[in-house]
Amino acid sequence: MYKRTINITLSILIVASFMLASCQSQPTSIPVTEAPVATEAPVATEAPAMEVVEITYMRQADNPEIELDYVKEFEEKYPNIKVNVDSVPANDNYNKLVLTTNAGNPPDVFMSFWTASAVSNNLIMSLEDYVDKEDFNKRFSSAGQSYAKYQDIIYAIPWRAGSSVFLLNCKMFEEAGVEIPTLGWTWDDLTVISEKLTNREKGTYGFGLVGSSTDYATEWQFWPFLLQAGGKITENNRAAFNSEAGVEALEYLISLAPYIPEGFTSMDLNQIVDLMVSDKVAMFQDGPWFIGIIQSGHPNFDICVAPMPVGKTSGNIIGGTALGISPLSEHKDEAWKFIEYMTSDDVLTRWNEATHNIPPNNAALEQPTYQEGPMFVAAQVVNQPGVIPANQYPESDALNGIMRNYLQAAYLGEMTPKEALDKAAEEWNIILKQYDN
Amino acid sequence: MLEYIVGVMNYITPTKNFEEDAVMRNIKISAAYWFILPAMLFFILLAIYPSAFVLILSFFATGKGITISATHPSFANIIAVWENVNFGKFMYQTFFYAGGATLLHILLGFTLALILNILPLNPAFTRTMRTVYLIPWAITPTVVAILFRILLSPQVGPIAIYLKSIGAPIVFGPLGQPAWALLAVTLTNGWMFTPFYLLMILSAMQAIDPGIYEAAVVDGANGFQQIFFITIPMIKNTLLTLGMFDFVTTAGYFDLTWIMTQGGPIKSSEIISTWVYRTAFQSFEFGKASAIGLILFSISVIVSIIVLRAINKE
Repeated sequence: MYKRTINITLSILIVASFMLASCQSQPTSIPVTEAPVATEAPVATEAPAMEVVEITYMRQADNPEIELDYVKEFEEKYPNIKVNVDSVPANDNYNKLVLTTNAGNPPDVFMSFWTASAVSNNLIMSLEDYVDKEDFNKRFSSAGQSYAKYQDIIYAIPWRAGSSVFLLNCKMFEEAGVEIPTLGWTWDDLTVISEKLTNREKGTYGFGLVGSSTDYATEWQFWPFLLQAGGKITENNRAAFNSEAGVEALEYLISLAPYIPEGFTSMDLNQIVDLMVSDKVAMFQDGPWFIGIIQSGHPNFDICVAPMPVGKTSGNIIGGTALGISPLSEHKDEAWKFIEYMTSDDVLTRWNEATHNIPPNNAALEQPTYQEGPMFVAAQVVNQPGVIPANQYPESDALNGIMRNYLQAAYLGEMTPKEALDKAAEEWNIILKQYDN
Repeated sequence: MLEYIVGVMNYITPTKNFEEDAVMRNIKISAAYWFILPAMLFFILLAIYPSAFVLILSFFATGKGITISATHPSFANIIAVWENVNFGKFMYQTFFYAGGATLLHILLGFTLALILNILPLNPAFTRTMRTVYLIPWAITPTVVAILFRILLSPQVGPIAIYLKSIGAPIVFGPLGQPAWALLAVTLTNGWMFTPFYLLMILSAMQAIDPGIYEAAVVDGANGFQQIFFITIPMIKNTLLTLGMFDFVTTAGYFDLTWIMTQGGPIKSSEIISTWVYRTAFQSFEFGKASAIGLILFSISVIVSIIVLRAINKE
């Protein structure tokens, strides 16, 4: 009887341990289809010949999967380094990095578009020991560099970078007899053009503005206008957007309400894009990556691009991503090799051309793709005066959420622009104070 | 857990008399506890351990991160949460959401179950409808949230388009309106989870002895009297238990609210679960987030105690 009980117990424990082990999630990894076969003399590497090192790369799942081809190329070039790819939706990247870092098992390499936040919370390590600063400054545009640095220290290597542009429905402009705006067009021009392209009875609108509480675009689309009004986002680690310039910018956007689709406080970017390709909205502004997104989803749609207008001054924000290494990585050298490969001029050029993004490296910007058409305009705006990188403050997720909240309050008329910006600044400063040196 | 320990103690402690029946009974009882051991371990690892960690974080974690930084327990996190200017608003919104959704689940579930149970429908039709009713519950919450975001969109949603086509003067976009956002999320929750409660209530109804209804008919009871004096009293405990379960789980439900509104516009649909997420994963204040979770847990315990007492009274 006793023996039987022990046998039953042991069986149950073994089954239970299998069940528990199977419940753990593992990062997805690229299947190695076959052992790499050398068809030519292998490229000399510094890595040890025999031991295979595994690194984890957390990428944005929203990115086109052509990126995985480059990872495979890297593994073929460095057969002793295996890359486990963890594809995470862009909005969840930061959360996952926080969680895994706190749990002690972060990805070795990750894609960052919130470098300041990552630095403030010790989620990313400095790459100054790996990078030749002079070469870095030569290779990458100022836009690309801004995303990779914080307080002038290099923490990541640029992957893509682009300033906001106006994305236009060429057909609606043509039918209305309105010329595509060019560099130097003003807020007044924007108002006039929006009015000309609006016919509420027909359900067509000149300007698309995002006001949803779930979309980063709500605050993203406000920042350029703040800068164009002569304002700043932060100054000396305090919110600075609740200045006269900020109020002016917000009041201006609210003045465009007659030309914006109704109910825009519940509309996100996807819906704006849907409306534009359905010839209901003539233009909206966001990052140049939307050129590729719209073209890949609607290859027959005729998209035009215009630079941002000028208010009191020119101003714009840069969005983009850069590859960084976790300070907890146990394979920093291998992680660096991976970043070095993925951010080589060759890969960056191929990736950005294939995905219609704006490359951060000067060599790619000289390619024919960026010398004409929408990509030319998008590449040019990056070098306009008054362009600053976005998310250059700690806890950018939280602060942007606060901004979104109060912008909505102003759009809905629940608060005046001044009240909304003051309240937002008050909540921003409570958080920013925690990061005073 | 206590019964488990007693069971093990029975096994290892010699019994007073050594008759074979008593020994066999002890071994049989103890073998049963071994069989539930994996489930217990699972429960401990996935429920007890995380709950204990949350409790510890709420009293011992200060500042950013999940490290235990205080040397002695402190109520600082709980006080900070209590003193938050939006605490009352978020609590009210949580109760509205959980209470509203629970009421919807139970009332609608009861009504639909009644229809399926009482009406002289074709059995094949009843079986089909039971499956069809389950469809909302079978869809992933993320998909439901995205579906309703599109459905309720003021420009691309079918409801708004229909209203425009008939010349309605309103702009239908509840997710962008502070007065309607939380209600929209509550109704979405109602749509999604009512089928589960419908099934539970239907099972309870079908367990009622038909003879009772026959006797009631003989006594002259009409349909409404049968529902109010037989059906409801007979399944009252089921309804109370389901209501308690529903309220507690809905109060902590995160997916729908976060994907549909992220607590907006202007925090009008912010509930405790989204507040916890924001505090933990945007502000990295895991101690405070745990304190908020502790408050939610306390509410759940209080609600459960009240309902269980009501059930026990029966």
